[in-house]
Amino acid sequence: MKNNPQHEELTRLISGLLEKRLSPAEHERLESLLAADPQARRFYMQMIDQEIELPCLVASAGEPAAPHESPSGQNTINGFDAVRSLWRRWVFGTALALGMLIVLIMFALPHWFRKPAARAPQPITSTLSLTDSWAEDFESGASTGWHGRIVTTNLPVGSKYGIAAVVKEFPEAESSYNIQLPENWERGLVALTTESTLNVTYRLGNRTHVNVFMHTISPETGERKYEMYQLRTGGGFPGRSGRWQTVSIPFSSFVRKIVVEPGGFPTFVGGPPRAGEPVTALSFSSMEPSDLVIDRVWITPTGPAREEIVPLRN
Amino acid sequence: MVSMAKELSSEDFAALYSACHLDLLRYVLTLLPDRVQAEDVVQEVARLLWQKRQEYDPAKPFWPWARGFARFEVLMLLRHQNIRGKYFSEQLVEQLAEERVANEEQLSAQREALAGCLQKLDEPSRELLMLRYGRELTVQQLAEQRGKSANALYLTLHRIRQTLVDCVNRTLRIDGWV
Repeated sequence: MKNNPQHEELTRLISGLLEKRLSPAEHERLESLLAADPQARRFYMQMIDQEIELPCLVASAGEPAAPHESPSGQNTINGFDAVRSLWRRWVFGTALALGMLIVLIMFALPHWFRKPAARAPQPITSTLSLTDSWAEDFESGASTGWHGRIVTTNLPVGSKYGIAAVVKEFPEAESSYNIQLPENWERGLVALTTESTLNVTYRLGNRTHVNVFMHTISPETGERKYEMYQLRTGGGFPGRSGRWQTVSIPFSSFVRKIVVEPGGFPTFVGGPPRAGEPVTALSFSSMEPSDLVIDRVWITPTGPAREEIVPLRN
Repeated sequence: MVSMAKELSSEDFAALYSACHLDLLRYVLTLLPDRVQAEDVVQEVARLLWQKRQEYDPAKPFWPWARGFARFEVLMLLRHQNIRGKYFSEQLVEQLAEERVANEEQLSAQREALAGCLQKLDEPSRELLMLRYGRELTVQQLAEQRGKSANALYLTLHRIRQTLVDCVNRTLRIDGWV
């Protein structure tokens, strides 16, 4: 293998893969090298194993702990001790996590058994009835009807799936970056009460202005009409902390799009949604690329009178 | 034949699972070379193993049973996420899954030889590995700390990995491998 002219290329590509530095073309090249040569695949496995072993070996390579005196007279810990400490924490953490797993699964088992075992996409509308509550946590791995991209990394502890914003094209307007709930223009997703609350567990890091838009079926009698709302004029979605947090927003914070003067343009200066209005669509939207990721959305018939943000303790 | 398998106690399950946890991580990372994704899959596999523990036959080894779940989970993830171009094709993943098992004896010997080769590295290389793998500093952090470019450090890390792999394989040839 060492004399193989592709050896150097292969190790460079595997190193790049481990450091997440491969371009799509390089990834493709690595895949073709691996697919073509069983020796290359063995070599790849060896490098993967090495990558897992190195943290353990490096941690155990240090000399016995020997705090020495610094010029200031204080005891200091050398680098290997610090690493060993990290390693001990890792081992302890893994053992603790395993113990917690056993305890958790013992208590949570009945709940898990009620969940669908397969990840096959399920039409979200099949679970909906027009009640005053609605929820989605994506834990089936499905996002049927949603506009967004399922993500599986950097989520809150215990969560497997979330949804991230993706670009949405409009024929006669600028494209935007959206996460949008499944639309249901016929019946609506949920009927609002005067105290209905939108709860979202999310992470938003960049300074992009994210707005929340909502459509409802108008409660006015006669021909069916839809209303459009925006979360607070110009206010936008709160809390760009880059950390996971849960915000609870009363639907009374939404303002309706109305025409103030006859012949004028509609603007968001109307009142809040009225009790019984069915929500048909709701989206989190920004005009610039957004790093918004939502882990869970749920609508409850009651909630705090004012917007509340609670950081998630991971 | 009527199954005589009885339900595993939580202690038995913990012992069996602990024994194969690292093997699971190696196996999954081979198929899905992204540490975060691989750890997520291993966590899910642990949950599934517990959920299905009644189906486990204690007369048979635990590892192949657990490995089957891991392989299935990786394939489901690849199909579900449509992440072709980021990870390997299903065909290659299937191939790696099969060969990983067939090569386990050699891989195990290589892992054992690695410790000796690490000791043979020069001090600056060991120091760099300690910071990168022990303290989990990113290459960017290391570059800033050492006043070098990130590209130069990536290259250095690549060469150290290469040195270790070559040393391991030399050692194994001496011991009769390859």
